[in-house]
Amino acid sequence: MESGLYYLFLAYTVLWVINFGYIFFLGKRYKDVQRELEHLEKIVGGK
Amino acid sequence: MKEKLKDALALVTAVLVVSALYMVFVYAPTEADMGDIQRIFYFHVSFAWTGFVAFFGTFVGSLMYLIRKKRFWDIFAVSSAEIGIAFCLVVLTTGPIWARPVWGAWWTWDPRLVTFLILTFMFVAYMIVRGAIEEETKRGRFSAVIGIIAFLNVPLTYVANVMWRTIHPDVIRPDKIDLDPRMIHALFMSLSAITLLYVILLLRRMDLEGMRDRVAELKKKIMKEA
Repeated sequence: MESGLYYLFLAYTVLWVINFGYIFFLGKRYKDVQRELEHLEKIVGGK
Repeated sequence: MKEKLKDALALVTAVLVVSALYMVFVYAPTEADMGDIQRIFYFHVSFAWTGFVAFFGTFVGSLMYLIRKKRFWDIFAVSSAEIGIAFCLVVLTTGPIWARPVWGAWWTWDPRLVTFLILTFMFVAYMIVRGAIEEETKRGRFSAVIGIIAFLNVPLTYVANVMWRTIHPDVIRPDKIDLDPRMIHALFMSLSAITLLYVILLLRRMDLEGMRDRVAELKKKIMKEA
């Protein structure tokens, strides 16, 4: 069997990259929509 | 749910994840045949199980949407599906990384692997269909039907090891877990951490969908007034 440590390191790196990537992607969409919502609320409130 | 409670939940999740990592790398013994590479198992299985839970969430949300026609259930279903896909992506990448040194190949067309891949593709299709339909009620109804059908693949994936000849390890059975007690502890800690991660992500994802609805509502209002 080939050295397990290299693959172990690779697996956990990939695992957290996907996870943090998704959390970052979710957070970015959240902030963008929040900004848009605040902007629209200002427009509606200003009328 | 209150923001402070969500933050507290996120903090508990972080503590559990760190504890799980400690148990996986320090507490759990090294497996006799495979060595350290076996330590992939704990998070691989946890993400797979929580992915199944997420798709079960989509199934329940879809069913409830068809019965009650409440937007809440549609939001619940789509939020759960998206997280399920992300978790399946983890499973579909960590699996081959484990398989390469153990089986000597990144991928084999094993029934468990194939049913899991199909399951993931079906939920990707669910998201694509949602993206293609503009009208809210129609989108909710169509995707609910796909969500229910796609979920039927979950029990099939689970029993694939029993129904067909497979080389995928089968250490967790309904009657017995074929592992050292310390390995079981590490597995349950990882499972708890990832389940809580799913809960916190689900709450955030549902908030996002709720805000999108509010944006659409305000846009309509502005258009009417213009």
